[in-house]
Amino acid sequence: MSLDLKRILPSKASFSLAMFLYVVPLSIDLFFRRAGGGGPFTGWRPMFLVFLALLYGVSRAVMSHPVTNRGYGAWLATTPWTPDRPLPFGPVWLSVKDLTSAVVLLLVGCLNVVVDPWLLKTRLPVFHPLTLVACALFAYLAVLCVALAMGKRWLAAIVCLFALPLTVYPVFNPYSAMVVLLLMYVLCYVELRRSLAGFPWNTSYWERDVGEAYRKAAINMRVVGWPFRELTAWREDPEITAGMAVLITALVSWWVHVIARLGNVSVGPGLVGTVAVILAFGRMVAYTGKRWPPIGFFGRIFTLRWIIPAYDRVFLAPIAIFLVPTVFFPLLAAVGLTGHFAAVAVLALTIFASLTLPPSLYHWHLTGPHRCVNMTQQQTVGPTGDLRTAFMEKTLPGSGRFKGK
Amino acid sequence: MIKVTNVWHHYSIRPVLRDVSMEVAAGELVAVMGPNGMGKSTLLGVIGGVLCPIKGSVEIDGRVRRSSPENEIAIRKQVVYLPDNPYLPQVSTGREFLLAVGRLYEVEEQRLMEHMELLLQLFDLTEQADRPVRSYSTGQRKKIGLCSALLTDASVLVLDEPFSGGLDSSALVAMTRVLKSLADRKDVTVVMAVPVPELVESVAHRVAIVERGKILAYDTPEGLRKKAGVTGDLSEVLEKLLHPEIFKKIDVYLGGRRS
Repeated sequence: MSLDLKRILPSKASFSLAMFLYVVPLSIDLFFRRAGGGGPFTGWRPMFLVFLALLYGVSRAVMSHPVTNRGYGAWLATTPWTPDRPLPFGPVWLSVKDLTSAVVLLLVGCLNVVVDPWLLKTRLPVFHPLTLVACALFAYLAVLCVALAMGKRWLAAIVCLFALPLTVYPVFNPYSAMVVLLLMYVLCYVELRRSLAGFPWNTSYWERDVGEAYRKAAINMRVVGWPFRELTAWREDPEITAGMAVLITALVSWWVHVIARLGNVSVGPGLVGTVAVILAFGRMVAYTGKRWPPIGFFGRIFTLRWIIPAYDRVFLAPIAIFLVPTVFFPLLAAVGLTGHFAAVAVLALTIFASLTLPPSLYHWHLTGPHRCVNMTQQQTVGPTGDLRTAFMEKTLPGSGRFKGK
Repeated sequence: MIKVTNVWHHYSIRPVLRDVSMEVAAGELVAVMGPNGMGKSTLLGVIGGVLCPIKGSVEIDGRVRRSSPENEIAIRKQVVYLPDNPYLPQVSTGREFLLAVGRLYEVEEQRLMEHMELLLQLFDLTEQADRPVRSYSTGQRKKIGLCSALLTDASVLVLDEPFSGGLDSSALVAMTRVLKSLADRKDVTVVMAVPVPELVESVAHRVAIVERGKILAYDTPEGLRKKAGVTGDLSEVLEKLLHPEIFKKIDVYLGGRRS
């Protein structure tokens, strides 16, 4: 097997494991079939194949891109590699060699369509042979979208994220899905070449600065705590602009709509209400969990300061988020918009409200009139294992060992 | 410079700080003293940034705490607040903890390593430094907490009871000397709550005496002596200011015993 092909195809170990996980349930199904019953894995095996195809697509993109495979990227930056030369461990974009993977996936798809029903004497469940190829390409492009965003190719990333659901919307058709995916691939390919041309990137934004990564790891792994964690100047609370909020809202709503349609279900007031409660509660916990009001509950009662405006304004946003479905469902119904689309619209408003209502978490943590509470006073269990090892694993995977094939 | 202006604070019904105002000049070392439960730690918490005053403001180098994200971040980079009972990781080693704190304060790596070794030597923690913090004695925990604050190279140190918590005599001497050296340097401002007057006299430029949430007196040790009208040590001054009748009571008691 040529070196390029070896880099594109899954490793022998992964392939053997996948085969094992497929053949064993198939054998069990056959055994049950011979005994006259239905196999317990008959319905699950096609799903497993889809999962494998998605996994392959993800790994194909992640491992070959120096942005997503950070160990590879870090190593590459130390070599004399320049963007006009081929990447040392194979191209990120698809090559002729990738046709081998496509053919293998197509054959596996055929296996599921032809051989499986023949063996099991059943017609269900099967899918189009192209489905696995489409799934792998879908996952590959999804990772490329993330990689493009990390490389600051925002427009392409956003377009791709909006376009990806079109592979299954309004209905899944393998041929139309392949057309959408191939069009997306062309866009990704162009942007990817442009992105790689900028190597080594101005990396302060996406490539983890070791100091910052260490600080984050030390806080997350509870090596530092009260009061250093509460008073650190390194706040990572996101400052979400109105534009970002619109984008996030639109993306989430669009994906929810498509997934609901794919599953042939409608988004209803129940789901939107639940999301609103979760978002309102989550926001309240994020804002007030470790930052309590300046006066305790009984202090408020007995000093007759039942409301502390400067602090209590933090509760207005969760109340508003909670009220969005209650207010907007009747309003939309009054203008004749009901059902699935009304629910998606209200869901979008709920998400938008939870992202944009003031104060922002960043402002609140730094300027809110709260008192930081020592929640770790009784903490007796710290991080397990050696911090250095865990830190390296968590933040710079591949720094100790190269992860490419 | 630290400027505390008309600060009020209460957790429940009883005000813990009542209209407290004080100024600490840059490079000054101020000891906050007073009986237990009178608001020393709350005052330090307000200066340190974990508490927000109900009324009033705290200004550090011309920036008001929590007035804007930019101001607060700038303040946080230059102020370190060490409470009496800071969090210490249990499984991580002392050295890992110190490294993490130093990096949190962006201390330059080489300086961090060198300073850490010096501090570990100073507090006799070199051997213990590579063991998990859970194996430390109470005094060693206190020492590693102090090391973490000193390691940050912050220009404002807010230390709540740095001498308490089972420090051995050598650590007390070391800490006193370090504070004295910081006081002499004039580029580090220290505010610390200390219940033991004997340890303060040699290092503090000024002493603030807090009683029932108010600053009863705020002056140099000499100034406090004049105010109290005594010539003895600082503990005598403290008692005279806080409990003017205590000496009369002692005389009455001793006189009664003699008769």
